[in-house]
Amino acid sequence: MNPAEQLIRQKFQQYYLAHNKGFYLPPSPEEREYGFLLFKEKFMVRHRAFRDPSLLLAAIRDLVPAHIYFSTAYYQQPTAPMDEKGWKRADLVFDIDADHLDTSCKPEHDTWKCKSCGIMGKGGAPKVCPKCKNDRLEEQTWLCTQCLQHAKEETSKLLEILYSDFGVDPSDTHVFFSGHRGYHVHVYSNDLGLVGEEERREIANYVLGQGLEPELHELEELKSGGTTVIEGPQIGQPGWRGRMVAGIYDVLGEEGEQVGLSAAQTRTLMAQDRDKLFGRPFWSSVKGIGLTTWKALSSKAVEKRSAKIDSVVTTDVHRLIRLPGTLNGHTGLMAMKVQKERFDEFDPFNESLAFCGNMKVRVKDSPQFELGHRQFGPYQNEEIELPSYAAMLLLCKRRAEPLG
Amino acid sequence: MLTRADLAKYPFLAEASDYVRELGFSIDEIAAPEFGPVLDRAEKRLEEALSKGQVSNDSISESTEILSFPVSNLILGLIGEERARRRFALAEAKRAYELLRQETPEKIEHIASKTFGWKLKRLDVRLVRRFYDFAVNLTDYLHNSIHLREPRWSLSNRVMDQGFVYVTREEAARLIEEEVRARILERSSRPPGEIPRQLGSRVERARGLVIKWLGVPTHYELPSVPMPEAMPPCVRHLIDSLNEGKNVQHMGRFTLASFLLNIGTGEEEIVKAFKPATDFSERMTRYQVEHIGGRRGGRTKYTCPMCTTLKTHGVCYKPDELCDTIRNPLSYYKKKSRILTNKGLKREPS
Repeated sequence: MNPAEQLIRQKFQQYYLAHNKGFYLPPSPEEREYGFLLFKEKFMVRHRAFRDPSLLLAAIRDLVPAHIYFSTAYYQQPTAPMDEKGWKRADLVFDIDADHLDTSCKPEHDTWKCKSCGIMGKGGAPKVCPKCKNDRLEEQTWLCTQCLQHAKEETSKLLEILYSDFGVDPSDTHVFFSGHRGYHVHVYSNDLGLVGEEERREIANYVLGQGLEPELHELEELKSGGTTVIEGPQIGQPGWRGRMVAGIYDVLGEEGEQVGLSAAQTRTLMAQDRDKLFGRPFWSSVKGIGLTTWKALSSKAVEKRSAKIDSVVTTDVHRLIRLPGTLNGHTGLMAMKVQKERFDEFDPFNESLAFCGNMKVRVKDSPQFELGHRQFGPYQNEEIELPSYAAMLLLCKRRAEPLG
Repeated sequence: MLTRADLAKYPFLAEASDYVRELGFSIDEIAAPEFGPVLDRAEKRLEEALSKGQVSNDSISESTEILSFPVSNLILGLIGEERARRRFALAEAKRAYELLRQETPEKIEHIASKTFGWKLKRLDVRLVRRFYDFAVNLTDYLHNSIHLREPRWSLSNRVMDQGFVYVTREEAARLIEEEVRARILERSSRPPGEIPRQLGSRVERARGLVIKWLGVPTHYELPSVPMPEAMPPCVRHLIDSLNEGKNVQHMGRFTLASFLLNIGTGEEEIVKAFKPATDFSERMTRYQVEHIGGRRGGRTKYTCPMCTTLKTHGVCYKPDELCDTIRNPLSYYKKKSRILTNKGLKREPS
């Protein structure tokens, strides 16, 4: 452990010793596997189980891990080796993380570096290094209000799809802030809990609108008596059909241009009220817009209305996921449950602060950031006294070193 | 709700089993002369399944139809031939589909919900041009649609409302076909017991039919020496990437190691394959390969991940035509090596 890690661990220990409220407990906590990623050598302690929440707290106080996880799965024997655990079922979980979102602010606060040839760039890391084509890229990400706002919007879209299409009961649905760059949604459902990985992949694809073909939603050209008519879904129809049509109105501007819509055509469409226009059979009503254009627009609309989840998380029925109420070792912020009723107002960079008091640190370099309704930075090689939550963020992000 | 004629059409229904039970036959009576037609029909069911892949619907009498189905199952169970059981289940399921698609929505609903316990709702909805007769509960839908590969079955291409998936009458019949297939397969999987004396000759005849139509079971062995030319595109790409000094992500490495282990490559050889990696550590690689091979840690010997998983993780690479027919890279290897060596081809039906 380097000095920064030692200090972080010490602060985490103080936090967990003072923490008496207990953690968020998922249903049947004793049937879950728990995992702890330790500061020391990034070692993962897995396959732990706790009959009693107080034993879990004792283990956390004893180990003081950087990250604390629990399994989305329920097992007969959570401590057994993987193939002897006896899988019973698993919560349906969704992960929305700014890492997977294409936000326009990334070039301002994220950087990447190729581990092979050493070149660096701004923004999210590309899939392969543009210079040496290697795919070992290291990312330096940053906390950003705009990124989190984007993740929140994706989460809201997800919730709408879950409630209306999947018929998931809102009282079985829980939203959590990850303590870093995104949100987790957990669904506790007896029915869906039993479905396997392939079925979950279908669910993930549905939420992402992946593989959706407008013609299979009956957007088709029909020839009758020498005239060609385009028929298709209408607003208000259930599932993706209504959502797709409603979304077309939102993509008429820039994206409309991309698929070859003229300014005049866009004006014609935008001049009308959305519900009025799309509520009636309109597919043949605009001169010059044919089936190909409508299909392209529909696909853009689906793209816009889909929720950008990380499908790897949803399809994994043995996943370990962050335990709410614990600290995120990447930030020193608290992973926490968010009341859905006030999700819109939830401020992740104010409500998840875990540390009080002040700390002195030496900041190497840091972009600007906002925490606890205060602006910080940018900093460059400075020794500075900061509120502990801000200092901890910089320490966790390896942007600062302890003093003395 | 269901008549005896319905039970003749759908002899796999719980009601049909009840009917047979109520007749109270014992195994001794099977050999009686009046049972001849039932045994003949049972044999014909098997032969049609094996030869044509579909069981006909030329019912002689309703009770013969109803009684012959469990007898076919019994004979199949006694033969204990996996290939024959699969073929029979599929053929009977197809027969059911052809009949079901012509039924009234009431009857389809009864079969789906009473016999198979599906949650489904009756609909009378037209969207654009298609009529939807039912909405099937999501889990029941996925349970069966997951085996169907056409894009129209993928959830993204369905109309879903409040956890229920809209289907047409024909689609409901198709989903039930899947359920029927799985249930028949399960039913005939009882371990073969002692063959009752009265059935001895029939079982022997059926065994002959299996050999006639499906050939002698050949357990195709993988080539004893790994064949690089039979490897699927994803695995070859992984090897190429390593050789070019590109980094391969964890999932790719795991895939390569587990694939090579499962086709019988020695651990030394596998360690060598990883040598060109930029961050190669012999000790670490050896440890991980031994772990995947089940010689360390949890002692689980790992198999190669499924194609769907590889797609999710971006390991799948330029799938070719053969890829469309398999779900796991190991099956690709098995098929391709069989084609390349021209060995172990299934015998053509004589």
